Amino acid sequence: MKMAMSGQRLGGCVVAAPSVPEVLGERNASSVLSQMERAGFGDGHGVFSTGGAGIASGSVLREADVFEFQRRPRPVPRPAESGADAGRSLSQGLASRLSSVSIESMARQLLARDQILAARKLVDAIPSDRFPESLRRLRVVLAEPVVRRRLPARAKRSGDIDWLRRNARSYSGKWVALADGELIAADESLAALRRRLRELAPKIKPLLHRL
Amino acid sequence: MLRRLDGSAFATGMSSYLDQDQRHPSETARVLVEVEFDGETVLALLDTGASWSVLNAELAQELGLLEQDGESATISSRVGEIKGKLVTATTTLVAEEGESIEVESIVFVSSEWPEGNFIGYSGLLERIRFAIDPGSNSFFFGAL
Repeated sequence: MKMAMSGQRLGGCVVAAPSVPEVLGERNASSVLSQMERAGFGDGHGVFSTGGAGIASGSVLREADVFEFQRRPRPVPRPAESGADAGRSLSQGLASRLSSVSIESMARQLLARDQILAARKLVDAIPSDRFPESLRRLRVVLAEPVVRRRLPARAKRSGDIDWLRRNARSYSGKWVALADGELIAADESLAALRRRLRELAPKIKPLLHRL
Repeated sequence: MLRRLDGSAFATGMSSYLDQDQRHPSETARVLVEVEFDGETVLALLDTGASWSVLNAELAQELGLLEQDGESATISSRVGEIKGKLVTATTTLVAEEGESIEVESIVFVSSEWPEGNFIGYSGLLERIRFAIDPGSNSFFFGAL
């Protein structure tokens, strides 16, 4: 069995792309590659050659990677080439040979198994100019959250929290709106409570909570 | 506010938290913190074990998030598997002292989710430093 990522040209010299386990982690890589092979990405696609034996485990893949890397000069890793850059390197060695549809399918399967970081890395490996709309949506969902801005502190809530501790049982099953340690309104329906709050127009933005 | 040993800020905001979920009273302490989802201020259970933040169905409906385009997803919970979708929402960790932080986050919404709000790791907490002080029921947070 022989499996290895294809070489690629970076900065004028041919180097080895990072292995799938390096980018996705050994456990995820085994799973992803198994799916890739089942999907038909073996011989003839230039990604890796399985010799017909199939992909058994991440450890088998690791041995093959080591073998392949020994044959190729490997660049000295630079800090800037970790993380996202590793993903971009993968994109040239792997993603360019896979259809975006296949990667989308694999990423969705990873997402369904809560392997969110692996799915993110896989999707990040694809150049954005190759994205179909559905994959663009998936990338948005998988993207790291972004801190947009910092805002001033708001009203103190310790009084509202004390109110909840004291009165929760009396309002079981209801939504309550609290501000400055006092109940402003309560209702079984959030929609009705919000309508009431619009009428009351409290000066302090109320804390809403369902008990 | 909390600082690292080198003097740099660890947390830039602080809020009080409620330490019990009144809907499910138990001896196990909970950490319910003040959060603003798309402009509405609510309490949400801090749950680092949750893959995603989750909004109560009524709240998601009121905020129009159930109608928003999103990525279909299923979560496993104590009430079984829940089908819904992942959507973008503006989430603010609201500070009583220091600074609040507004995050473009991803949340799970479903018309089938009757429980409360959760703030989970992916799509939100993964970019937030946080710490709690059970002595004063204080939740400290700051952006990475």
